[in-house]
This record gives sequence, structure tokens and C-alpha cells, in this order.
Amino acid sequence: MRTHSEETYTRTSHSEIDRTRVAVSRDKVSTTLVSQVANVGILYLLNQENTSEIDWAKVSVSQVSRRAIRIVNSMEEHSKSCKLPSEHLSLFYILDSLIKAFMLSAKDNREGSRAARKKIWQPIREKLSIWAGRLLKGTHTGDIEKITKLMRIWREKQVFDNEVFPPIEKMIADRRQKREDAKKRAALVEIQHKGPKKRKIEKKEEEEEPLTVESLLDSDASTSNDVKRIKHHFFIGELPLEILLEIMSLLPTKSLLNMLSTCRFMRKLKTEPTIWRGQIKTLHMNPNTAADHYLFISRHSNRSWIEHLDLSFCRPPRTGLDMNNIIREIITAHQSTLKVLRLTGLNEVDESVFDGVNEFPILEELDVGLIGQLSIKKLVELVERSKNSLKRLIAPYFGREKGFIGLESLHTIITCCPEISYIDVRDRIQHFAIPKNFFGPNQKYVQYDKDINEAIKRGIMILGFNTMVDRQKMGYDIRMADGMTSLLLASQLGNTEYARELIKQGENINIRGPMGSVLSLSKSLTIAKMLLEEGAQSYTFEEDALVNTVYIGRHMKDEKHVEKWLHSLRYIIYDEDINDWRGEAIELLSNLLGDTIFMRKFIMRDDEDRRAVLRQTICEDKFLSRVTTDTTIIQRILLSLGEADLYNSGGDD
Amino acid sequence: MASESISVTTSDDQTIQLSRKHAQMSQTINSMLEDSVGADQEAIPLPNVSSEVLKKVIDWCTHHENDPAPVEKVKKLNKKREYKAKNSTISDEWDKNFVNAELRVIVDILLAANYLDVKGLFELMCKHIANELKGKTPDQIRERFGIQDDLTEEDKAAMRKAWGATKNDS
Repeated sequence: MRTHSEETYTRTSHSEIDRTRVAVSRDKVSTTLVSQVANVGILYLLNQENTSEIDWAKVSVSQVSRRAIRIVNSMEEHSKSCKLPSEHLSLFYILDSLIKAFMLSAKDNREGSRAARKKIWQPIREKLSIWAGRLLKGTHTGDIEKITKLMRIWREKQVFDNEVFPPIEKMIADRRQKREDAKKRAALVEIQHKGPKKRKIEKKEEEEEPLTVESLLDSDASTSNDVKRIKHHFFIGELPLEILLEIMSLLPTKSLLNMLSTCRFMRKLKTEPTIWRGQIKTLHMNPNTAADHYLFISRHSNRSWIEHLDLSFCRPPRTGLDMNNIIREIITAHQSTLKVLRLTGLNEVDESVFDGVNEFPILEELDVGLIGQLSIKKLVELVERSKNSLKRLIAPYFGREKGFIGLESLHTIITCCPEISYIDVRDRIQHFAIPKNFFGPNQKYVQYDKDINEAIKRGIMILGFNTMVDRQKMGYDIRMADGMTSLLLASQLGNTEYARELIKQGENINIRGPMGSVLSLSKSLTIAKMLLEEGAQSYTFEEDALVNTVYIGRHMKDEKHVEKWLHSLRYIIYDEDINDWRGEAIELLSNLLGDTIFMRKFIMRDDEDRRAVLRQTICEDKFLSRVTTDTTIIQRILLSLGEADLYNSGGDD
Repeated sequence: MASESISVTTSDDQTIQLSRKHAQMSQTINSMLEDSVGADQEAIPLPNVSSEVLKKVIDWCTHHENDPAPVEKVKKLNKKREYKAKNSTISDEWDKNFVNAELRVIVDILLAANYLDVKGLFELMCKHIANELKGKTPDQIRERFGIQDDLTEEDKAAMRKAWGATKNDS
């Protein structure tokens, strides 16, 4: 029978622990670990899919303890390699999950079960102090508070024998004391407000102390405001960027340049406009800071000096100036030095921002995606004004209210820019925009067709022709798209000859993210199957392709196989956070496709989980079978994973 | 009817009373008051402002309580596209005395003004610091504001080359 304290523990303490755990699970580092074990700890321990299905009366303690000991041992292994405090903290939450599971399963109070329970507490007790020690070494204030809270709950609810706690509590107290000392010392230095030279002298004087001002700057204590003040040197580190900008806007040019010449940080403000953007984006306290500051910095000198201008998603000005006027002034003033111009995500902006442009003599990249109002005519005009240098044109979804790009415009872009190698006009091309007589006697369009095919031969990548499938049916050349789409089209249309040709070209086929976004999982795997069948040696799936595939697939309710596949994902991941399961999805696909597809490396889950996934996806759902009925291929994949026996046996535990 | 004074708690746990009129000069406190209409009159926490600094802010608010609300001027574009700095003159004698304090205090008041969103005070502090910066060489600025010179000789040479042709102070 469950004791009162155990019951209270499960009912009261876990709501707050769960909240903390959610916070922790957002931590990128600990996510995998937490999602692998802690979040599914109970389910895994009890081999159930969700808690409502668990019949606690039937749960055997020995069953739980056997699995729990395995987890504790793997935690111990993991603990040795943990480098970040958050990873150690994760171990404590995992441990907490184990305790929770164990408490819930503790209805069985028979003699044998008590012995089993003792068995699980033993390794936990032994390792608790070690983990705590590792955790507290270099941890943050928040972590100390969290761990203290856990310890308090465990102690109050008598989870462990009392002798377990004193050494850990002493460690926590020591750590807290050190932190307090560090704060005091930092505050003292701050009050004295010493220059760098004096601080160095003070450092020498304090050599006997374990913590010096300098060491504080690198230590966890640097999170305190007091220390931050010293860290970035007085004044500059003290003031948020927006205040610095405000002050700088009051300075005449000479003084401004003198100020910008004082240190590297200030110099960066002058030379790297992207820094401004990054900084401003992070300033949520005052949303009125944005475009006018770009204007301000662009006016630093009466010469053109900006090479890389990224005004994407910048906010409207606070000075009452018109956003179009501001951007027009900046672009006009710096057109002769601009190499990269990014203006994406500016829905309020219209094409008048380019009115002052005579020529972009060295512009290499133009990104005008998501500009609210930009006509095709203006886009082509801009391309013509940068024709000698333009290499990349990015204009997906632009000019939503201004129609679509046609082959004529594309023809102009391709033929007038000898350097161009990348054109992204996704969703700008509609098959119905092509005249009916496109493939007929209209030589003009035939000429465009030839030109564009010529462009393909030049190696230009054009994104946006994914609707070409319809045109292929009309006899059009599918080489208008990149590798992924081409392969997809080839596979869908049964054009294996072209697919083979692509595969033979081999090494450089790059299955890209943007195109992946329109593919369902089955299509991706169809491609994969083709690659396997054709004996492809090495292909690259960019991460985004798979992420998008899974992301899109998740919302495609009508595609049952995707749903099933994702169901299996949830079984493992048990976390609705998109950022959590992206990595897992990629890993899973990596597992499925084995060594025939080169993938970026992701943290592998332990063997037990991996086998469970494989069993679920391959053997029970026969998922892979839907993609290929060729058992040789399936066996080859499993063999590459070292799991060849799974397919025939149906898996084991 | 709303009471005439507001309690605020500073970062050093001091509870300070200030008049509603002064409180409303701070957009931050004003927003908090609007959010808590009808609620019990608990002290408003100001974790980023110390009592010493808050008293300075109140002094300033007291002196300027009858000033008209600041109007943001729309600056017309300069046809020649030349950079022109905003006016940083401090005309009020009382303000001149007010800013006659240690840099440490000035920066604290500036940060508090920014946090509390007291526009006039924020502008005053920015102007004062800008005036402190004006006419100083990079070395003098470093010395005055405690900035460490971490530029290499190459950096300095590159800057001289790149920024050499600038206009004189306007």
C-alpha cells in the first residue's frame, strides 16, 4: 500500500516540478535527454503508451526497478560526460521522474516488492551526492534554487534516508556562500569605480582569494547585474544600445567618430550595420527603436559606405518619419557600395523605396522577399540596374498583390545577368499563367524556353518551378527545378531515365530544404528509395528538407501513413514542442535510411529506445514496406543499422 | 476616487510615496496604475531603481511638473543628405545644476529614466552625456568614461584610413 507521504508527494510536488521541467525541456542541451527519459520515464518504465491506461494495481515493483536500475546506470554514464550544468540538472529531473514512477507503482507492498524497492533506492542513493557535486560545480543561481527545491521536497516526503541529504545540503550552502561573497566583492569594486589599471592591481592583491574580479567575469556570478557593470567596462556595458544610439544622435560628426574610435565594441557599431539590427531586434523594452536609427547610422558620413544592408523585419520609426522615406534615403545614399541588400518582411513598404536608385554597380545579392508592394516590372528594373554583378536574386512571395512572374521576366533576368547563379521565385510562377499556345507556334515563348534551358546548363539554380509537373505532362523539360524537385518529378512521372541521369551525376545532388517543404514524407522516402535502388553512394539531405517534410506532414491529416509515422514519433518524443521533435524526426529518418544517406550527426538515443522505434515503425506499422516492397532494401537498411534480425522476428523487448 | 499618492518599492526595499501627478510623468508607472485600476493599493515594485536614484527622479519631476507634455518633432529630411546632430543644449538653469553630479549618478538616473520612461528626464541625461562627449578626443573619452582601449594599431590605422574624410563638427 502506498504510504501517505508517497501519495502526497505525487499529488503535490509534481505540479511544480513539472512546471520546472517544462522550462528545462526548452533548454536545447537538455531537451534530448529529458525527452528521452524524463518525459516518458513513467511510460517507459511501465511499458505503456499513456498514463491513463496504467493499472497501478497490476504494476509490479520488480518490473519497474529492473528497468529503473538500467536507466540509473546509463544516467551515471551520461553524468560523467555532462559538461553543462543544465545537463546535470536534467539528471535530477530524470531522477525525479523515476521517483515519481516508483511512488506511483508502490502499491505492491509485499515482502519481495519491498526488497525490489530497496534495490532501486540503493544505486540512486549512492549516486545522488556525486551528481549533486557535479551539478553544483559551476551552476547558476536559478539551478541552485531548483535543486534546493527538489531536495527539500524529497526530504519532506522522506524519499530518501536522512543521511543522504547533509553532504548535498552542505555543498549547496557552500556554493551559495561563495556566490554571496562574489556579489559583495563585485559591489565593492563597483562602488570604488576603479579603472582597468587599478583593477589589475587589485587582482594581484587578491591572489590568495579563490575568486577575483576577473574570474568573476568569467564565472557564473557574472549573471549578476553588479558584475555585468564591470564586464563591459563602465559606460558602454552600462547602457543599453538604444540609449547609446540616442546619445550618439546628439553628437556632431567629428565627436561621433571619436566616440566610435574608442574601442572595438564602438567600432563595430560603425562598421557592421548588421550588428545594429541584431541588437535592436533583441530590445523589447522599447519597441520604438528601429528604422530611424538605421537612417541615423547611414548618415554617419556623407560618403556611401554600407556594403551589407539588412533591414529585414525592422520596425517602423518612432520619429514619425515615413518608413518608405527612410529606406529610400538609406538605399539611395549607399547604392554605390552595397553588395548585399536584404529587405524581406517589410509589408508596409512599397516599391518607391527604390526610386532613388540609378545603379547598383557592385550589388551581388538582392533579397526582396515579402516586400508588400513590388511589381514584376520594378523587380526586373532592379535586376537590370545591377546586371553586371548580381549573383543571387531572392524574391519569393513578393508583391502578393502584383501578380506573378512570367517566363518573359525570367528570361530577362537570366539573359541580362551573366553572373547570376541563384534565382528564388518560389510561388511566383503559376502554370495557368502560361499561354495555351506556349508550346505551339509561338516562337517567342519557345525562345524563352530555350534560353531558360540554356540557363540551366549554365548551372543556375532556379527555385519556383515546382509546379512544372503539369508542364512536364505537356512535354516540358523538368530540369527547371533543383535536384530534389527534379527527382520528385521524375519519380512521380515515372521518368526513371532522367532520375537515373541525375543520380549518375552523383555527388552534388543536394536535396534542399525549401523544396522539401512541399513534400510529404512518402515523397521524400520515394526519392530515398530511388536513390537506394539506383545504387547512389552519397546524397545530402539538408536538415530543413526533412524538418519541413515532417512539419508539413504533421498537418496533413489525410495522409494516414504520415500520421502513423508521426504517431510513432510521439511515442518516443512525447513532447509537443516543435523544436524538440524536429531533431528526433531527423534522427529517426537517419535511422531508417541508414548509411546510404549522409546525415548531419545528431545525438543518438540509447539502444533500447532505438530498437523500440525500429520495431514500431518498420515491423509493426510496416511503414517502410509501403515505400518499398523490396525486402532486400529493407534488410539492407536494417543491416546497416545492425538490426537485421528485427524485420523477420518482429522485434524483441 | 483614486488616492493622491502612490507607493512604490525600490530595489533596496524602500517604500517611497510619490504624488499621482509625479507618478503619471512616468509612462511605466502610469501603465502599471492603469493595469491595476480597482485593485488594492499595493506598492508598485520598481526593481531596477534604487531609492537614492528615485528621489533624484522625483526632484526632477517636481521641478518640471507644470511643463507641457513633450512633443516629438518630425524632422524633415535634409536635401543634401548630410548628417546633422540633434540639438543638445540644456537651457534650464535648474537642469544644469541637476546634472552637475558624478558620472555614476548621471548614468543611474539615465537608466532609471529609461526604465520609468520619463521622456524629459531621459532626454536631459542623454544631452548631458552627449555634451560631455563633445569636443573630446578618443583618448579623452576613454579616460572620462572608463572605456578600455582594446584597439590594435592596425585597427586604428584602418579607422584613420576609412573614416579620415569626415566633416568637421557642425
